[in-house]
Amino acid sequence: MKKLFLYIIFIIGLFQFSLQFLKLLPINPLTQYYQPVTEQYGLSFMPQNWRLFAPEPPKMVHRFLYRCGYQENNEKVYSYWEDPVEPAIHNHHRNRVSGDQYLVRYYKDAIRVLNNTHSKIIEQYNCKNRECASRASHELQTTTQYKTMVRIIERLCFQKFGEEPPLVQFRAINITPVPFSKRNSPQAKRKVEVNTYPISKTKV
Amino acid sequence: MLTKIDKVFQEKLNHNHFLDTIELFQKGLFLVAFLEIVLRCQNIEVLYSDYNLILQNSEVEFLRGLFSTLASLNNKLITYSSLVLYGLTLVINFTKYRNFLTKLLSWYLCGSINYFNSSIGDGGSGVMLILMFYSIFLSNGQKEWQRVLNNTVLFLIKTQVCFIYLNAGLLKVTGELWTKGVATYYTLQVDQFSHPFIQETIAKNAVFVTLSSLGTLAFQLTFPLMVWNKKTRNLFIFIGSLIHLQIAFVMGLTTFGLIMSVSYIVFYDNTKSQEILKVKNHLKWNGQPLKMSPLGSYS
Repeated sequence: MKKLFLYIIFIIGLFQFSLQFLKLLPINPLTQYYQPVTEQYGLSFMPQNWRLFAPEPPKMVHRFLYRCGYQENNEKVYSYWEDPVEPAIHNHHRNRVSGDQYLVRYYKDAIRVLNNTHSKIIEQYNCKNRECASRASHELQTTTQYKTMVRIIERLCFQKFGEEPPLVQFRAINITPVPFSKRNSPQAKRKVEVNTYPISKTKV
Repeated sequence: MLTKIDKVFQEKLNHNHFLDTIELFQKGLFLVAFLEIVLRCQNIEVLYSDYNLILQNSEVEFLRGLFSTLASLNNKLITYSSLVLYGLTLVINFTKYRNFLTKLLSWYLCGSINYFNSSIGDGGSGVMLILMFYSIFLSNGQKEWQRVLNNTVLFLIKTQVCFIYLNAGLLKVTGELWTKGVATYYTLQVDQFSHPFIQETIAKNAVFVTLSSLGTLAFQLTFPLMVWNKKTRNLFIFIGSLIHLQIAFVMGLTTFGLIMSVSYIVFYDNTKSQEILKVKNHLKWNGQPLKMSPLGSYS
């Protein structure tokens, strides 16, 4: 009985590390054959997706700005553009052992995922005219990622103004750092891309 | 083959008992997990009140199926109660009152809470989940089968730590920036992993950037081999601990930096762990161990 137990542990260990070994091997017929198994295993309750800034560290910083739209005397009034990440990152820089690091990741990941979804839709439509762009924009607004982003901003507006806004809008800001070779050049500046998403109605 | 396996079990896994190493490792693991959940709960309303506010992303949705209960229920009261229960199990597991069930519960709640908002975790959340799974099978028992089981689990944890480095190291070799020796510069340009002061000073220093990039690569590729050698083990654990404490407190990836440092404990021999557990033995004055005076102050 004891031997059987030990053999079971040995087999489990062998299975666990063989799959990891297969995952690490360069692409070859064997790894391709077992890819569905290794991928599923890596996504299960024993996540094995260790990247640690590999194969490359992030090449872009994702941020976003938002504004809230309210109805005042039959006129639409918008707040200033706000950056929800800035205060959290400021606190994170001051105190590394604080909960702000999670807020920073939460907001940055939200806009990064939406940007990825947007890029996929643009690629899929490959638009060359305004009508097509409008259709692509409409499809983007039906995605879960977009709807969730609107809800996140709705929540931010509520926290700031104490009232749920009927309209919200946000801008994705993608910042590319100065290349290493130009790091000491006074003229070199970070590349900033801004993508303004359409004004969206909330459920209010 | 089976005879050889049996021999390994009898000679290697049944030989020594690492009860203090196991105790120290578990204390470290559950302490880091507790720290993480306390930090996460500072923004509980944003991060855990409503699953509809969590952006679902296939890239980060690595924990699914088994741990999706909280997400599918999406009830604020249940989620908050689970957070409290998780905290309680972590406190119990930090003490000697831990058992199979409390550790199993910690592991399940850790997975469910991570799944609920998977994008806020760093690499440490995944490592923690795996280490918690292994720790379920660790025990304080003195029986032969418990000793074999403990040693087997310790061996699996050690191998797992080596695979983490091997995986990251081999992936980095395929990347252009790491082999060119400039990856640290780009990592430190990301505001959340850096500090304005660091970005303007050492991150621009070519010597620092090259040494740290290539050094990290060399460390990750050699660690899985060198840590098994008794002569090089302590050096590699020391370098690794410095790197991970830097990751925790300079780069701000607290959970990852701390949990990787904790994972090194499994490589300690039992005597070293025993010494660490009895910290007061290290407190000396003029070569004599400190003793508590009746008034409570050290004399």
